[in-house]
Amino acid sequence: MLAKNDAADQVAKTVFDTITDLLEEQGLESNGFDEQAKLVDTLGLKSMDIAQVVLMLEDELDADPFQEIPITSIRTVGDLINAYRVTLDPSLAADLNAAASDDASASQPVATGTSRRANRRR
Amino acid sequence: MTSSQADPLSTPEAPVVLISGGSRGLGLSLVDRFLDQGWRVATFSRSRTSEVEKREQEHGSSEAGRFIWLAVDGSDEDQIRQAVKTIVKSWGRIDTLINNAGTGNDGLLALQRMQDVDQLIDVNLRSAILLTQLCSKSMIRNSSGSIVNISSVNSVRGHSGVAVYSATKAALDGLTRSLARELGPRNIRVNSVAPGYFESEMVGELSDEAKKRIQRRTPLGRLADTREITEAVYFLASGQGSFITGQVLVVDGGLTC
Repeated sequence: MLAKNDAADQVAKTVFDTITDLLEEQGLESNGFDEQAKLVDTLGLKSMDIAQVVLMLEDELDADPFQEIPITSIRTVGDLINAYRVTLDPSLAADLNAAASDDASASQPVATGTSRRANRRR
Repeated sequence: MTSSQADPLSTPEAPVVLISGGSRGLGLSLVDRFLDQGWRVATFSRSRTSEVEKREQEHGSSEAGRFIWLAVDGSDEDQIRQAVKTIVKSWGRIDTLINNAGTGNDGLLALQRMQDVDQLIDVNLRSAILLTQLCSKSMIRNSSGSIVNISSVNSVRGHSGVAVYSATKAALDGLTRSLARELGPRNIRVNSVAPGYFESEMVGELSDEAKKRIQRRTPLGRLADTREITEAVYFLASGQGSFITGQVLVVDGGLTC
């Protein structure tokens, strides 16, 4: 169990470090964000920035959750961390789903610029 | 030339281009053009040809060389994914993608088998989209790159008997324009080249009468040489076209003007 927690912590640290690197690269505020921080609304990331984070994480973690999980379901830093945790350890999926249903009051999904436009045109 | 113009030739190592369908015709001509300019060239096709073997001998067939050919069926997603992985593993990146592989089948739409329609869409469009997705990841990582889609004059003018082929090529042009907006902020350019009739296997199937009719309707009065299409593609793919993105360059001797 300890090893499992260590692995999950390592995933979280990698995600935080990667986002911090990108924010600094983009000249955006990179201090003091937590798992509740919204990628777009809080951190100011654009859809291509999020793509770049995902590609950097693919290199770091050797995993691409977004062949299975729709990227539009990712709103917060915590959502991103959980996507990698579940992909790297599918046995965590049930725990995270239960936690998500307890937190049903969560805000609207992070729609990327692309998906918002697509919705308007339908 | 400034760094923001993303000239892959300005990188310390030889830039890497992936050309789909490079074992013959326009694809082979593109392979030679990029090799001549010092690029590292990866290509794939269904079967190895003597022309491929010749270039493997001249330029090396391993990651230490400048030429990699892979056996790939353009309609097989797993094979395409594996090919891109192999190239990135060998050379670390892909700077330029030329979506050249394509096929055609003539005939009235009303009489076509849907399996033939699906095959055409798979090879001409779906594979190009997949390759673009895979290669653009490498380009986004490097904040630099260029993509050229080989379209056709059939994407801008209607011709009886090639409706589905035309649809796949017009779709590529749509891909070009939207991706240019999507990837532009990461210094990645996306363009199409729409060749008219040039000396190729597809044109070789036309009757002499049909070829003469095309020549009569073409302001320049002849078919293109393959090299003339190659030069247009190289111009857009390399740093020479560094401020051009989202465009369809029609190379048809004025046929559609």
